[in-house]
Amino acid sequence: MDKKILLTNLAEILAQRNGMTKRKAEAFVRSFFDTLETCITEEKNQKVKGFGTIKIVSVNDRESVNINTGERFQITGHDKISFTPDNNFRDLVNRPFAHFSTVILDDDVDEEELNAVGTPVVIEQPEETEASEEVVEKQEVTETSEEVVEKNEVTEQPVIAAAAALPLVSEPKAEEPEASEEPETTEETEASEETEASEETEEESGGHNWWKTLLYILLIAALMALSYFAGYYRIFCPNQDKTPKPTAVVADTTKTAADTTKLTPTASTDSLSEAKAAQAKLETEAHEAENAKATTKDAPHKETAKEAAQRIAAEKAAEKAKQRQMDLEAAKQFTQVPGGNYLITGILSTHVMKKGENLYTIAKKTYGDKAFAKYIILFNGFSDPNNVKFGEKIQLPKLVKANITPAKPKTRTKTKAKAKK
Amino acid sequence: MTSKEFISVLAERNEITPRETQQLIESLSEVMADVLNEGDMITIQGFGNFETKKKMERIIVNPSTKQRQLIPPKLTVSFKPSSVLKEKIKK
Repeated sequence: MDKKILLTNLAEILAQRNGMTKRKAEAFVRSFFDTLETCITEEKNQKVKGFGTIKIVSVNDRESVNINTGERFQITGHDKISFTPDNNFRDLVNRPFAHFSTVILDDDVDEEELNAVGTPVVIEQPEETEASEEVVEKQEVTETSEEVVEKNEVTEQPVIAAAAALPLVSEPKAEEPEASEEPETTEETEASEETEASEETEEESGGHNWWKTLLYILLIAALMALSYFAGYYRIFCPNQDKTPKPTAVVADTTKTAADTTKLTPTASTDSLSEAKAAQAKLETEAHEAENAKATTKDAPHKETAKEAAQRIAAEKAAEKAKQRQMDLEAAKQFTQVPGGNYLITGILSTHVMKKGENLYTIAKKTYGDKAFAKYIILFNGFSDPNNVKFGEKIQLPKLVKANITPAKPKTRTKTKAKAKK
Repeated sequence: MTSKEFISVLAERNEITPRETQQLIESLSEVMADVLNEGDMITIQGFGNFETKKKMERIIVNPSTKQRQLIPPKLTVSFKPSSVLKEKIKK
């Protein structure tokens, strides 16, 4: 691009295209322009077929004005050299734009329209739509703000009722209702702020650039309303989860069968209420509260059954404790995985490696997760766990959770051990 | 001098037939067009420069039919004679 191509360069290309020597080509090009020059100097006009016409046009004297001083002066007549390319040459040069052709314009097409390609039209349209949107949004916001106030009043009552009902079931949950009430108070303030904000927007609307400011403020208000609802339901739903849970824990600690049966209906209603809409939720919660009350009333009648269940549970717990003690003693005999969640307490089974198996698949099969492979590796003392040959016998360790809280893998190993016995 | 005469003079100088000369001239203009299309400028020492100029699209009105037409943009060759050639012509 923008290179200066000299006569020699032209000759080179010409030589390549016509299969002639460079010297001949250069001589030809040089002679071509030479003769052309001599021709025009002598005859003032030369036409070359396939190239163009070079003419010498005489320009007459004319008056002009010096643009700097405003002085009039004479431009003396002179000769001008003009070059008009041949049709063929002209078309060749115009090849990049050859596909264009003249278009006859219709009468109704305006020049101005072509020059300014609809820019004002494009800008005007969104403004109109914005205005219409604003009206709609305004309505929505006022509606939502009303809803917020209503819901606040409605929803709070059952929650408090549920919270009040819960202390009847067990004492340690006294803290719970306070916690549940706290976020709601903050929400109330938010709601009040929101309504204030919406009022402010209406006041400001009298301003000069009011359409824009109103739009922005309405948008912010809408966002606030949305975030309020989102936050409200997020805080509201966990409350439902939280409140029954402590009772479940209490049930576990006391290990009374009666308690657990008592709790099942509430739990089921809980799960249902989660799935249902907001209003349905409130209703179920009210039911929940009633249920809780009812069960507390029933409790004294079942006391004898409770005591029996308690005794059984206590025996079981004692057995478990014994088992635990044994496990811990057994664990001392084996090398343990440092920092592992499980203790190796004995040999669960022996396994012969088959084709297509590796320690991880075996771990996944026997313990439920491939992460348990490290116990197998340690138990068998593999130096290269990724390369265990098939046909090799490996010993699967019996695992017991190092912490007291029971987990799935332990129960699995236990059931397997039982099956073996 | 007519085009035929010009070609015969050129043929004589290069010791080739006029037909070959004509072909070479056409080939030369083709080469020049190719070079110009790449955006380059052709400079012939002592003669002048050949350049391409882009003419923008425009609307014309046919004076007799009053019909308006959109002329597409196009590339044209412009020739600027060198000062040497200008001096020669003055004489």
